[in-house]
Amino acid sequence: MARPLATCPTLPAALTQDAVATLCREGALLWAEQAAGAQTLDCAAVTVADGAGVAFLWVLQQRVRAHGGELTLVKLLPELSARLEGYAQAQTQAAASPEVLGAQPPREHPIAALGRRACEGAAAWGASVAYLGEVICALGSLFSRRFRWGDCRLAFQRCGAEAVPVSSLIGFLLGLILAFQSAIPLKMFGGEGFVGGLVGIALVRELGLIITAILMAGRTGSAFAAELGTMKVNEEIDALETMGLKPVHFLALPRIVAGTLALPFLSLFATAAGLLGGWVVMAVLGFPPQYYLDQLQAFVALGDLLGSLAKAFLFGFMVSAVGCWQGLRAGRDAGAVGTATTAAVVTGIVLLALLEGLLSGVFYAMGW
Amino acid sequence: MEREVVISCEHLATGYNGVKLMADVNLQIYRGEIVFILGGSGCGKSTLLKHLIGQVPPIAGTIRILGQDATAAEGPARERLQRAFGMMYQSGALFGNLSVLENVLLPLEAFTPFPSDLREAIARMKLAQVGLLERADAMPSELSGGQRKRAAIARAMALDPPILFLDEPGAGLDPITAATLDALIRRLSRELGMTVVIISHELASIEAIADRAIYLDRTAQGVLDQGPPRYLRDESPHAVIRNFFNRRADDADA
Repeated sequence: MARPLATCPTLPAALTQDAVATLCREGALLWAEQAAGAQTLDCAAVTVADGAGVAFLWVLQQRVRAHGGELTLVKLLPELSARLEGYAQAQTQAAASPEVLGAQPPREHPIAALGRRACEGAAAWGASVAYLGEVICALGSLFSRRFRWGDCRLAFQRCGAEAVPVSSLIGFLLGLILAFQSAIPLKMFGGEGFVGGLVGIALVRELGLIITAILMAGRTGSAFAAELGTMKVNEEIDALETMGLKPVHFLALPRIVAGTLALPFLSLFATAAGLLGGWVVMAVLGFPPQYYLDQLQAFVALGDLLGSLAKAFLFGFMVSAVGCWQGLRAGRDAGAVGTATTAAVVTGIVLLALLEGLLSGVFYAMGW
Repeated sequence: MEREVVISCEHLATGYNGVKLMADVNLQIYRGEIVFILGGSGCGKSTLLKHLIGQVPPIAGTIRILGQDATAAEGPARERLQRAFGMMYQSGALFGNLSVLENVLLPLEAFTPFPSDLREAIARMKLAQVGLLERADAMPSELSGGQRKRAAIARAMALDPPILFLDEPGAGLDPITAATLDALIRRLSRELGMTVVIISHELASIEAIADRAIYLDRTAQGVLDQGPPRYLRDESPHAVIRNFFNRRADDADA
């Protein structure tokens, strides 16, 4: 399409996609932009045309018209001119169609938009509080026959047992890094012997749990949201409701119970692996194993571990409940599952941070 | 005059993941005809279609499309072959994040060198042909089931392929919408000379627009019988085919 044609283009017998491509390359469409006044195009040669061919003639006419000219197609096959006319008619009809008018909603006033969004936000909060209430009420059915232990076992397998290797790996890495990096400043004071205590306190009290909970938000919260979101898109959740089964009982509760039970275990594995990482560093620094164990015993109390386990139940509940919630409230289009998954991970981690801050404050005030 | 064969399957063994559905499928489809592929549920109609469009390789045998060996085609040859046919999936398979017009534009943008106004004119003409021009800017989620299928046909036709594959175009549509769709398929085939291969159980559609129907059967391990629908309904030597067309559950009175 380098240069426009100087004269009216010559049409081939078969005006097909390939022929149109050649004509475009030769500049036939650019010619139309320069052609002024009344023009005629001899179409006698054309015996057959496909969709691209007919559209080519149409665009040629449109371009000439846009520049103030008029292009008449002479000796065009009646069936082809019928197709052009049919399209012109369809366009006029479509332009007059009420569906096109209805397609553009009137623009919203900014203040109205603000109000609408505030109401929607408040409604979403209300719905999530209602969901939380529903989950807590549903916990009452935990020991009834209606609770789906099979689903719960499967979910526990997926979010618990199968997550042990990756949790342990991250925990080990954390212990290793913590010990190595803290050894550098401690060495300045000749205190590298206390590395064990530092690693022990940090891991057992907070870090082992936090890292596992974040991992769980990414690994399990997102999976729950994707599972339930896909079910929503497939109308499976509607089917449950129609059968009179509550999605929270049927789908969310087994997963939430599994997540709540899994996180303390995973946290224990991560913490243990982290302590192992710390021991490796201590061994490299030349301390015997017994020394490391003595350090841990001196600094870490059983209460630290129990406190962190108690928090683990809470975090596990929160992360899996958020995942299920985002899945249940997902939209119905193709992008909805992706949105729900992202929301599950982000909300899970943000709530985790808030909850952790709150609990640290409470524990500190209580002098633990 | 000898009719030109556009699709032929020779000794095709269909199936996937190691499960063989039919051992020996032999069939020919000629230029410009509307062919229905029939058969009981689970007999492997959709699998055969997947073999034809090259999505799943057949277990054995050859498929020729426009004279080319489709089973052996790879790389650029495969791409050329793929542009020879359009495919409409059962659910429409429109891209939800694109408008109807953008859905139809997508293959044009990918495979033609045309300027944007020409591409848009082609796409809008396709939409006009399926009667959806006024919904060009709608999103697929705003369309009804029948509109979605028509939009999917427009997208399948965007590059003017000589062959159109339709998977269950009438399924789940009300009789009037289904009849409109039939009329559209017939018009496209007559006006543009397209070869249309349809997988469907809809007896009304078959009797209304089929030039020929091919009946697949698992016990026969291939094509049981083929011919114009009226022949299959009244004269086929196989009771199962006559029952199929007459909606009878068993062959007690056959």
